[in-house]
Amino acid sequence: MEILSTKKLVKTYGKGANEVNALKGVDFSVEKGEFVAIVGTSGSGKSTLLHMLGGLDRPTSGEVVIDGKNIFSLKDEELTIFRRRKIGFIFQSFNLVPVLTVYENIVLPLELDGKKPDEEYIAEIVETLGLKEKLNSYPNQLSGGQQQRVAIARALSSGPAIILADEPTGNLDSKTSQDVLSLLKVSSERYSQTIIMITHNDEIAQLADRIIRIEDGEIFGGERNE
Amino acid sequence: MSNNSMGPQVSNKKTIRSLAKKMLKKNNSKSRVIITSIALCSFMFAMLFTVGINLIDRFQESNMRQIGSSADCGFKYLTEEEYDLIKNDTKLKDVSRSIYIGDVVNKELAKLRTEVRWVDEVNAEKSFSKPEVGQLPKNEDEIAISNLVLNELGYGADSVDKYESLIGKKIKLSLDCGETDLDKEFKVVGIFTGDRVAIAQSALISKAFQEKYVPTPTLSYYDSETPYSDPNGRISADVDFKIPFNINGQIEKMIVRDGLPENVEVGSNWGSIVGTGDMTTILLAAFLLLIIFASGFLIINNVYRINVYSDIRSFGLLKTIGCSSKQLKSLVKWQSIYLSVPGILIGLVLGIVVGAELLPIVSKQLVFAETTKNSFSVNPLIIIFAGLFSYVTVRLSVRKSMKIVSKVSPIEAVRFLEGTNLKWKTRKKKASTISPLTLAKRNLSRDKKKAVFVILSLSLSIVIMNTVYSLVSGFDEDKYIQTFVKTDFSVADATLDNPAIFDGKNTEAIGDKFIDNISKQKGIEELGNIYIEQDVIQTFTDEDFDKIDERLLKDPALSGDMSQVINPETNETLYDYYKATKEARTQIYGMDDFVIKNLPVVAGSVDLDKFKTGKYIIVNGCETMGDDLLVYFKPGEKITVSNNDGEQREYEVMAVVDLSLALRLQMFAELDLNYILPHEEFNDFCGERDAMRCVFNVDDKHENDIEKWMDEYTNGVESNLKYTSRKVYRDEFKEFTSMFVIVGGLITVILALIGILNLTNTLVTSIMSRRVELAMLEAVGETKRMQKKSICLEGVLYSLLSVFIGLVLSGLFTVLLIRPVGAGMWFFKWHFTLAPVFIIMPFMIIIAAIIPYVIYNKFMKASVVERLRLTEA
Repeated sequence: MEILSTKKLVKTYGKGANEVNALKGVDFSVEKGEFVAIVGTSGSGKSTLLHMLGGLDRPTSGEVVIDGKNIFSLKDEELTIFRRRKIGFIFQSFNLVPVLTVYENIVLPLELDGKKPDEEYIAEIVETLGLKEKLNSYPNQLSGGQQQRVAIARALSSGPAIILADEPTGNLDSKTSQDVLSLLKVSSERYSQTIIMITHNDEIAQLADRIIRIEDGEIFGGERNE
Repeated sequence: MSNNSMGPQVSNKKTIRSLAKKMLKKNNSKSRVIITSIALCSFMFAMLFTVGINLIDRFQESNMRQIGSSADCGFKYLTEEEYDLIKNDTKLKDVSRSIYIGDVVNKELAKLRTEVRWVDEVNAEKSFSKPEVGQLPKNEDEIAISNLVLNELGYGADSVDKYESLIGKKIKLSLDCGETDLDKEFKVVGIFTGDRVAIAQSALISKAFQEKYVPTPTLSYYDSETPYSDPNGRISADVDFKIPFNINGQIEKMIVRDGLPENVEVGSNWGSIVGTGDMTTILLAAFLLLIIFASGFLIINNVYRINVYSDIRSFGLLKTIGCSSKQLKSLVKWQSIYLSVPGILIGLVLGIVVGAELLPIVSKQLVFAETTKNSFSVNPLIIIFAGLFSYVTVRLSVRKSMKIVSKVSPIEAVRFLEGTNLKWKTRKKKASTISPLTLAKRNLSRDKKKAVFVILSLSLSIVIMNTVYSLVSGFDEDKYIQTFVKTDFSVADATLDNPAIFDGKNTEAIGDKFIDNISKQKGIEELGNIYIEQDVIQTFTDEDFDKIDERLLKDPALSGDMSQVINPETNETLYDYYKATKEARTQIYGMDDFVIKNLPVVAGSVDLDKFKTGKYIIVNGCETMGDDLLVYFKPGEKITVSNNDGEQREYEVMAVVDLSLALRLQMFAELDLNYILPHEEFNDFCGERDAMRCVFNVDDKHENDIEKWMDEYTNGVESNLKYTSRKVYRDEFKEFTSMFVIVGGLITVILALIGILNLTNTLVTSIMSRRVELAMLEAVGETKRMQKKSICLEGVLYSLLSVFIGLVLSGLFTVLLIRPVGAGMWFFKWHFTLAPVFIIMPFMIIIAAIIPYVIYNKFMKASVVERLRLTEA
């Protein structure tokens, strides 16, 4: 079942001589439960693509359809609400809220939506990610790897349709990176989550079910890893 | 400043300064906020100093005009020889000479005491009698004279442009020069403007005249072997010290140094505030300075810290490329100096302008001599003091920021996030639900110190406002008016209630003419006159004196004065004097029925019909420094009363009353003894005469008409009369309270501005430094509306905390400051109030909610993606 698809996605920054074509008509789709890696060099347009997929930025033209909905038909506020229900984000720089505890950070998307967290489900995620001891700590009391695990837990907590990860291991050493990635993969399998991950690291990309390459705003490949 | 850390003699001052400038230029809007805050601070200083210094100036000049000299002190009754001792003292700044000749005793001048003196050029200046037109007299028949004296003599000299035409006029004066009396004709050669509040007017004659008619005695006035002689002809030396401070101490030293007689009489100038230094005034000024200093510190400190935080990346970057801590400090210092210059200048100009506007409002409330200059001057001291105070405030406020910057570690700075450098304790409590309120609360406590500063600076204005309000609302209008007017209207000669006039008050100014005229007016309900037999010396019978001795002289409220006041000639105390002579000065009043009915009875009761039989008398309760009235004759006691002819009558005391200032002759007496008789008995005993004062009530309908009529009448028909009414005092009271309202209101507004500026700044930085975080929150699904709500709540929390602190401090201030201050004011009734705080509360909350809303909209325009990128920047 197709959970996400893009149609002729174009993003142009600037005008005239300064015009930069970040995306030049990107078409691809992702099946439910897939773990997709988008690989590209710096400036290839991979971050722009991820931002479009997550509805953080609007395209110059084209569509992004998630769960059957063209997300850019939504107004800004609606889009934000759609995001907190359907999309989980994992950033390179963790981006946890410093004034909230680990637990509060994890359940934040649910709380923002006015929902009661499903304690059993949260406990399971916490257990899986090995954060049980740290629930009442603040982000600045954690190591980088721990912080990223919290970010993963946060992305999973609302049971989103799709998780978007932007260089999730960019700020971590290689050992920790491996740990975090395998946790990401394990949890995606366990909860049959769809994950789209951006990386410039081919080795990391190998963990994904499918690799999409992006260069100069156009995509290539899309072959499945076996 | 030193470059030691960079090794020997590396010249980098220029680099640092130009870097400082460039960083400021880049952050133009931030610079403007800092300049505004510095300007506000220096504005307050400049305003305070403008009003303060000008007031002191005027106050001094006014006092000096009353005394008639601006010199620091005056040595009296000197011989030529003694004067030379002083003149030759090289440690003095100025010595000038005047010689008292005598008094002018022309009939026309009965109400205007005029002294004839010779003065040297310097002394003419010092004693405010330098001719504005013409010159000082040189020949025997020449005179320079106060315009007031000329006026009284019938020459119209009420404005300076008329002086010229009066030069050369011949005037005839009768002089009482002690042993000799002279009748002379003088040619007017100079005219100067006299001052009504002065103790005496001056007429200046030539040295030639003085030497001829009133030569200076050669025997010292202070030599015990010299027989008593009049002061006429003796020299007064007016002395100015180089530093007009501790004048009495300097006088003592001078007497020893110059070998002057030990018992020489010296008057030190009580007009000089600096010299005498009134502690309460100094304390009040210091308190105001402290408040301004504190609020200035609060805002500049906060603004600056914020500024440094937002620039911290640049500072960190500078450090990575090799900028030393010292250089960074100096960078911040130079930034602050560049910002101070425009800030302080703007503040000074505005402060002086507003101060000049405020000055008349404040000075109106204080008694000044009418000729005291009303122009205000930009004293260089204002600029120096205000500028210096502002600059010191800036430099002190920046110290903390300099410290922060010098300690910055390059790595930390690059990833600097507000609040992350704080040590958070693991939360023990079970996690609460995250509502916008929780987020707001947590954000507020990220930087507790900053929060405290903002809250303090917001609550400061609340406290000042409440303090001013409780002061102003405590002024009791009724009590104030009651003291001065017991009745709707009161009319008397203009001299009667003028506290600056001691001698020559006209106590018989209300004649039939006025009574006839006023009686014709509609709306007069009741009317009565007060007559006076002034300064009657009572020789008490033994029995009467025993009562006075027991009830007054030995009362603790008076006994101090009685034993401490000593007559220097006889060496006996006041008590000894009374005991020996059994004599005291009294005032005898005759009063009409209406007045008698208005007397507040302290003991006994007044039966008007019985009283009018002429067998009874009413006496006053004797006023002391305390609040209590001392009863010296009790109702039912029989006393013997003398009149000025020495005739004695016996009366029975009917009642003791509180004789208020509104009805009596205003004067000072060690023993305040007043007798009241019914008008008929007064006429019989003391003789018929015109009334001292007329008081009357008017029905409400006609009050305004009569007010208008009185105003016209006392300015036209009988211009020597002056009236007061409830309305006059009500207006006066309003003016008095409005001074507090305006000055207090202005300070409140400025402090509120500072508080709001502080809040704005804090929220701006808070939002700026959290931009990434907010973007991320948006990415995980916090809508803009929720973010706004949370940030507005943060502002509201600030305001609520400020109001709370404001409430507590205001409460403390009214109890600990206003109550004791008010206790010193007789028309003040203290009551506890926090009403202004509650009134201001909703406004504070609304403002505190709107500000973050506006800021958020302004700074959150950039898209989520752009803001998220900031992390990687």
